[in-house]
Amino acid sequence: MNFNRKSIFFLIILFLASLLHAKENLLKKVDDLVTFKDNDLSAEYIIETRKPEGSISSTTAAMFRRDAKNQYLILILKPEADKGKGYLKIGDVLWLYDPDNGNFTFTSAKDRFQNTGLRNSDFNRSNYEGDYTIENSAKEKLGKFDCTVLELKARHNRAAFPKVKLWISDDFLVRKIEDYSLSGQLMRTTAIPTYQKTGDKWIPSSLTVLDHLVSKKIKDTVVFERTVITIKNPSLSPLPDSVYTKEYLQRMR
Amino acid sequence: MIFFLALRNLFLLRKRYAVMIIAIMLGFSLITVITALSNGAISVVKNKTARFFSGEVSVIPFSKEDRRYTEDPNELINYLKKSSLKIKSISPRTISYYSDANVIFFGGKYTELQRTVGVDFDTEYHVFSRLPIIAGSIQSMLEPDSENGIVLSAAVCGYLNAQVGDDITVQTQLDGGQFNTQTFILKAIFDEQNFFGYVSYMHRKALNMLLSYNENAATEIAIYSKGHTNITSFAEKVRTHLERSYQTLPQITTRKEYQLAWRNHKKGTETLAVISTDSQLDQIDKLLKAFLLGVYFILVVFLAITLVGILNTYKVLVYERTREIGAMRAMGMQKNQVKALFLTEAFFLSLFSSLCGFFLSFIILLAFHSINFYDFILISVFVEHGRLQFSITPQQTCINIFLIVVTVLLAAVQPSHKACNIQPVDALRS
Repeated sequence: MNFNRKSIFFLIILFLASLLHAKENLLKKVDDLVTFKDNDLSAEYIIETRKPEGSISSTTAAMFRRDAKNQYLILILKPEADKGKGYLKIGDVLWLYDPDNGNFTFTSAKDRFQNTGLRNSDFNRSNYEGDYTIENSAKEKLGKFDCTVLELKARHNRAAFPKVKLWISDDFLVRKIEDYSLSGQLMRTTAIPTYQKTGDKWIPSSLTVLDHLVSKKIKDTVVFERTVITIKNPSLSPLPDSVYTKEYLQRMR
Repeated sequence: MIFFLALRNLFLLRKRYAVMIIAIMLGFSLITVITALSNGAISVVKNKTARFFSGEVSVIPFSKEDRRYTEDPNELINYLKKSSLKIKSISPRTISYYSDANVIFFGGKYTELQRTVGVDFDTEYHVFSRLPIIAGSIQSMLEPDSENGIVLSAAVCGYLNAQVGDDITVQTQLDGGQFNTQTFILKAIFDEQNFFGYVSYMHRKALNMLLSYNENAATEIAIYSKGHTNITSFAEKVRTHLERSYQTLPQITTRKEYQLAWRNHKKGTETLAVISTDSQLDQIDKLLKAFLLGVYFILVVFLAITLVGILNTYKVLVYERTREIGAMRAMGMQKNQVKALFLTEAFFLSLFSSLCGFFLSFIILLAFHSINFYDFILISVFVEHGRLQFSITPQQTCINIFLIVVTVLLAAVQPSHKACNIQPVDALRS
């Protein structure tokens, strides 16, 4: 009898542990599907931002990413006024290059990317497993996708958003993200309806980011700043080490 | 007798002296206007700096965790209050320092601030009551329901198109970099269009909550002195007093030194840094001192011109008054008395002209003060309520009068010496 009680207790613990592991495993699967540890990733980003009052700005950038070394380089191609500006991330250090004065300055990963709804950290490789723990999970239908909704809490205070909500479809791709501040205010919603397959991994074809802090009430409707990112021509071709250097940005001036 | 004669001569020869009076008067008013405006500008910048940073003297605790932070600022405050230092007010402040961390959102727009400052409005009322408020009121920050109130500048509100009563979203980052946000009600707008305007003021407890600090925590202690004009020496007195009971950094005289001290602070040690507004402003202070040096160069040139002008005028005067001198000498006036007469005339001339110059400068300064420089961004740092402030100190006025009187007397020495040496017979024959 005593043995049976112990067994049941052990089985419950085992069951709970496996559930937890399955959830943590889910985050690992999510990260793995969009992380390119064995290749360089390059792509063209077209970022269009529509401000609440209606003005539209567009930025085109070339992005080169080496997830194995936690590096990326972004070179602004358009508009003409910002052409040649660049971001270089080596480890935890992010540099911003201004071709007008030839200076590199430190910038924060948490800063907005070129005054759009994107943050510089959005170009980092996905690391939900390392940065967050799962607080809650549920099943929910999101349009045509059957999703698992995970409520995440930051493991450490370096993660920009203390709370995040993820909608993960059955193919382990993230379809929607809600980023919250520490006070619980919704800061940003990102929708990723379509992905494109690159090698055996996936990258989004387009994303839409709604910035909930940049909003305006127009005729009883709250209009948010909307940033639409289209990712074109993804490639896994190997890139020389010289791409991830300051000299590369200076040469592109 | 000499005084009476000198005053009588000045009155009788008023037409001849008129040009000299006008020249000295204009010169004196020019110097007074420049020094009064410079002193006013320095005073305005120092007040703004004290408000923007943390008081005339800031005590900044570098914590063991490598943060500018103390859980219990009251311990330090009580220690300083018990001292014999002449302190007008002492108050804890919490500051969110990094500009990219402090963002204000309203009406679909956002702007970065240099810093977000959490203050105790009751203890620092004497500072904030002097803010040039253009909408709302600082008193509203003292009301019981004002804990979620915020005070912003005209520069920020103008850009965001925000008005008193609007809900403003403030975004800050915690020490690790995590975002936090909170909505505040705009209670007052102050008139500032420059660097000093890119700041928001809120209750310290509200900012502590936003930064996830303890309710009573502070990042700095703001001290205002009682009647000290030399803030650097007051800061040193504060530092020396703190040094008796706390580990304190050596005297910091420039902002660069402070930043270096912060960079070199070793994790695991607790240290206090004491920095004054003079140190925060060392760059501006140097510029202003260079400007004042320029002013005094102009003063020296002006005095040299005055000296030569008066010397020549007196030479002519002595020549024209040779017969008069002869008559006075014939009636028994001694050589020294003649010399004293001319020098007394010069003294009254310079004194009278300086006083006229003083009143003229006052009119000029009032005219300057009436001009609204609101749209002149370049000088907006030096103006309050959009107007240039001026400060005429008794010491400065006395120095200016003294310089003018000495210059005129020096110019009059040689001609009066010549006058007293004229022989009465020769003089009457001429």
